Amino acid sequence: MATGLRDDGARRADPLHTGQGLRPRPALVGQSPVVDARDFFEILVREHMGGVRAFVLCSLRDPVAAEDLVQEAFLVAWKNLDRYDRQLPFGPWVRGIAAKLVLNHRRKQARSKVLYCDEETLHLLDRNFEVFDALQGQTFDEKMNVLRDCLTRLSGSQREAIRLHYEHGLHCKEIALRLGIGFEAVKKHLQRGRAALHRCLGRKAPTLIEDFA
Amino acid sequence: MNDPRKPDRPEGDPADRFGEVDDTLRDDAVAQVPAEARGWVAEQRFVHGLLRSLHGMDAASNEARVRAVMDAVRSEPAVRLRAVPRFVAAAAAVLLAVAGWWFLQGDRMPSAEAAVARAASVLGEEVDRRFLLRIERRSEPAEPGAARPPGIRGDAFRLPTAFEMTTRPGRRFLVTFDAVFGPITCGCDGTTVWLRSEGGFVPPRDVPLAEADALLARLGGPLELGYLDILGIVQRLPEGFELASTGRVGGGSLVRIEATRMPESMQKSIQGVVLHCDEDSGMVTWIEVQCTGRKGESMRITMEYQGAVELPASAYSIPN
Repeated sequence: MATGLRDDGARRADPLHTGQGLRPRPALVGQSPVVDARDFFEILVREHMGGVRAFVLCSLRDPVAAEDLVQEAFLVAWKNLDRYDRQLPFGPWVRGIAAKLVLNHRRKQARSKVLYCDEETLHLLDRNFEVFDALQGQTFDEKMNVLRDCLTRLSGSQREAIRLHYEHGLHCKEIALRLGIGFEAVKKHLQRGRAALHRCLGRKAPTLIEDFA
Repeated sequence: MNDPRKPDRPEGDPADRFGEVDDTLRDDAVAQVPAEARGWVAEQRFVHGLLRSLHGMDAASNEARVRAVMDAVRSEPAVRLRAVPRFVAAAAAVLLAVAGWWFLQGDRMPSAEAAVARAASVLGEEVDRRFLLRIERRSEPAEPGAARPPGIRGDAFRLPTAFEMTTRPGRRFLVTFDAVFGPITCGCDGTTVWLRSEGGFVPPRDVPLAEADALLARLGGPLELGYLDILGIVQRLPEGFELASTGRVGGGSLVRIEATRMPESMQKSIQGVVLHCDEDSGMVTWIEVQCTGRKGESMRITMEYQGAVELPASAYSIPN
């Protein structure tokens, strides 16, 4: 095969190729390894990225705006790290920052781009995420396995409606055509399916149920 | 979350009572949510957010998000603003206010359709481009007693799952890979697909393009003609897929495009495609295809752009 590969930025395609993984700095001060605070922060970002992203996706319609807002939330957290009470878990703190950004975003944008939001709604959402945090699993993805398991327990029509809506991005009208049912029936399948998933998740986090009774 | 000890629908189905204030299923905004509906709306929204986040949770996307945050964090100045004199901060604020608008304009993402059209245009240039092709079979249906593909030398001919591929518009391509007894090259000059092995342990094959899939199937490996045609994949995306720009990769010039197959699409075997398009060059640098293989198995094919190469015009021709 021919040679002469030209470098035109192709390697940037795979994010893993640009990896700057967690690397303690080699310098030593008084026998203690000096580790950049950013490296510790990266651990927190990795741990909480999924949860904060899901929290923001609860309210913003536009996935690109949601990604930008998640990034901004962590950046604000970094800038205000000296205000973070280390006795408290990091997740709720950064979700609180994200909630303020969602409210600001709603003020700036047309209301139709952000779902109904006020402080109470965001607080209720945060309470749900506190329960989610208590689910079995070390990482967000492991906790999401509980949701995946709950999805398998839905009725066939609810599962199919949810699959078409969230996996294939179909609107209710398209799902109605696909399944040969009415528009309102699709909405009910989705809403009842989500309610069933919520109950299923609640059953998997029994230690906190009393808080919600 | 709800107490599971309570009946599921104690006072009628909340979906019936509050369904109209659920704006996750409406295109317009809800002006107000009644107090008694707040809890139910929050539950719906919570699960809505989790279900949406299920997508884009792959390792590469997560890594890109973390990278974007950490790039922004690392670009933060070490000097705290409090230490900066007030008049300097005020001057900087004025400068930012003036320059910020332009900066923000520059950061707008191109539409997915425009990015894909531009990528197809760049891929259509008469340039030889090299990709690293990786194929993962996720779940292959069990086939007890199924006959082996009529490969020439059994296991010795088993194909790998990573290939180096060079393409040029006009359905010209070269794919090289290492088999047990030596390297094999599969090429196409636009009309004929040919196969050659170093040392000649595989008899030379030349078949018309229309019959090439049967030849590739006979190899018993994962190669298929459809995804060797990168230009074709990108060109056809707007026809049967819903396109969306879903973010930047690593906070740089790469825009992530997600293509979701529409029900009426003719490309039934492809479920979805993810592209990374370079906003500067227009080139697509990463293609990920979720599709179904010949045997109904789920497959993930990734094509990582390695760069442009210079090949002689005869490189794709049938070797003598």
